[in-house]
Amino acid sequence: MLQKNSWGYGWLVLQHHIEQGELKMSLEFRQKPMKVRTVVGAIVIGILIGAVIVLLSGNNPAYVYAKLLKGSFGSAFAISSTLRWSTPLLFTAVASAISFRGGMFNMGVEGQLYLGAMAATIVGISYNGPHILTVVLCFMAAVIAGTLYALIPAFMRVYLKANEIVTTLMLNYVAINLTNYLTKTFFLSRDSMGDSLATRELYESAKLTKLVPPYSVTTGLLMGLLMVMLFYIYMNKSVKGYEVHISGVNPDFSRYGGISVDKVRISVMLISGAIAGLGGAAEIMGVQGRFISKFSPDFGFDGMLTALLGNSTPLGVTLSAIFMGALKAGALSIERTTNVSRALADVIKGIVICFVSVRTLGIFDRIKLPKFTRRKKSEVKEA
Amino acid sequence: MDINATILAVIARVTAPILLCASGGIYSELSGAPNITLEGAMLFASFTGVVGSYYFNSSIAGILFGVLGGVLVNAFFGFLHLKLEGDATVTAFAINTLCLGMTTFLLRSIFHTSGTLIDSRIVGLKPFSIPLLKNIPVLGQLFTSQPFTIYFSWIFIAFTYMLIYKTQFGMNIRACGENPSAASSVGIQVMRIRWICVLITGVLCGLAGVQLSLGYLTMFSENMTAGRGFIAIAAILLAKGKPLGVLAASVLFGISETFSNQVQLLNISSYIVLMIPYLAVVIILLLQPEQLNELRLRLMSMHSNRHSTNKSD
Repeated sequence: MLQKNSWGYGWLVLQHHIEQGELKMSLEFRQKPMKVRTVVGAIVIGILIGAVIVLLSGNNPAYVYAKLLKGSFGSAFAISSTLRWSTPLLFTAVASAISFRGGMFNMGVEGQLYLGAMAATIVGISYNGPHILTVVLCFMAAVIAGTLYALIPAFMRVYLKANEIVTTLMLNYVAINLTNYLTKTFFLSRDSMGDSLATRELYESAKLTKLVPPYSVTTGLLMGLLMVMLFYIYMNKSVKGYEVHISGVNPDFSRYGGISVDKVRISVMLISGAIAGLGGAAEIMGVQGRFISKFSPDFGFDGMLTALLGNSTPLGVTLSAIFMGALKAGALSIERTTNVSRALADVIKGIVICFVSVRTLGIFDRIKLPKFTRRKKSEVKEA
Repeated sequence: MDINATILAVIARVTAPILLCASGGIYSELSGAPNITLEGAMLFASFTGVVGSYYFNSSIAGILFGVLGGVLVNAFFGFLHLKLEGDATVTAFAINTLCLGMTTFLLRSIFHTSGTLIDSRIVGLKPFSIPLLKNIPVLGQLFTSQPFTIYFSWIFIAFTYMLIYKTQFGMNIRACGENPSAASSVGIQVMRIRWICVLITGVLCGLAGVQLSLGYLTMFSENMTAGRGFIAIAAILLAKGKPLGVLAASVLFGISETFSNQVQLLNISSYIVLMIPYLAVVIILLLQPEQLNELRLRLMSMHSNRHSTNKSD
């Protein structure tokens, strides 16, 4: 059968495959474990390329980086700013990490966060009870909203095989517009601020307590750390967590071993949505004090990047959330003190994550030895 | 904007960026290099397109710079994914973040502004009409004073169909995606074909970006693609990489976006209206017949499972 016809050999490969069955689509994600030196290497590359970009834009990179460091760790205010930006990332990163571990790519953390924030706000502006009770009710509302919103893509993935990356991304835009609509139609505050929509302020009883009063760090940070600890216990100490791990690493094997991969996938999405919702609530109740349209500067996406950088492990997520928070706090400070845009943080983040999943140590010998790579060209890339 | 008179032209205009992006993405998808950088590449291209048009006062420079921007982003993706074997999904999302950051950063560094850039020095694409076709009664509006990118989007999808199904190169592309090791064993250079495909995707993302920033409006604003690249990916997934299916899906998404633009004129909250295109994508993904069939099979197998476990109890 293997004869070259006028189409060449490609046709044979195709025909063989079509006979075998359905053509498959290739948008799948499975996280590979990373080495610490890969992550460190990626961060170094990100900072170096960031420096080149700053240099090309006509600024002194050493000066800009010194300002960035000063704005993230230079003073008590800077440290509190770093922790303030790390707090929502802890939630969203744990939310992303747990879905990654279960083999789902939940890109909808942003949308779940918005709905969680909205639900907490609705409770917080309409119920004024004892502090603890109000806070618990707000968090519960957020958890329910986030979970329900994650249910849609989870069901679509498991029962309809709709790619969860696309559905969750689309649902993000829906969630943002939906919360804007709700705010504008039902909860718009009269003392609105500028052109952004805002609800009226939460009751004092619904607001989180500040840990060290003048600074903006709240008990939300403790909640975030609690999420990390629960994530650790769930993944490392429980049977369910082991099932999540196995079905993330090798779905076929776990099916063979009697694990219902579908159930695991739905459950990780729901847990992910619940934590994302909590993150939104913590941000509103801790920092904003009211629901403001576009309050999240991409906490969801940043959480995903944080989880990827932290290799979706509890310790890694915590460290990378602090790194990302520091980057954010520093970037906001360089925008105030120099004429470099805070988008520098996004650039550095992007480059770091670009290089996290490649074999960083391989880069140097590959680039130095073009002959070696040329010989490898014909070799087939492993999927 | 009159709803009846120019509606087809409006649909064509709204569909064009999605269609261009998606038809470029087909190549990457079929060659087995799943490419989600469309969003970032399109955004970056719409920025570089504006830069080219601003400095050279010509729309042709805008197109060239836009294409260059799109190719640059995809070459970077190729470098990371094909050369350094990085995970396609992770690197692509990182590149999207990078593009968003870069455009915002450069907007401030080059033009000393943030948010939106509108300047009289930016020259938009010149609309032109196609002589005979513009006289057709209703369809004529599709060929009347549209920019080059819109005509190109239709020609290119037809070209893609021919290339994918009727040429040896197209067969090789699909072979690379379906079974890389078999393709390589019959002498197809898999990596080379994937590189070509990723770069083609870059060119098309470039044109999509140019259509967005210079086609109808002549401006750039932060994150102006607003998820259109992801909608294009949805179109590719929906059509399973088949060019005509991608055309149909893109037009469907274009219609829903046009509808949302038209409804905005009525007295309905604009936020509800803005949800329409994205919801449409989700609902269309949901309503595919084969997926409903899948659901039916699933439910049946669950039912029989329960039945058998009950028996064993």
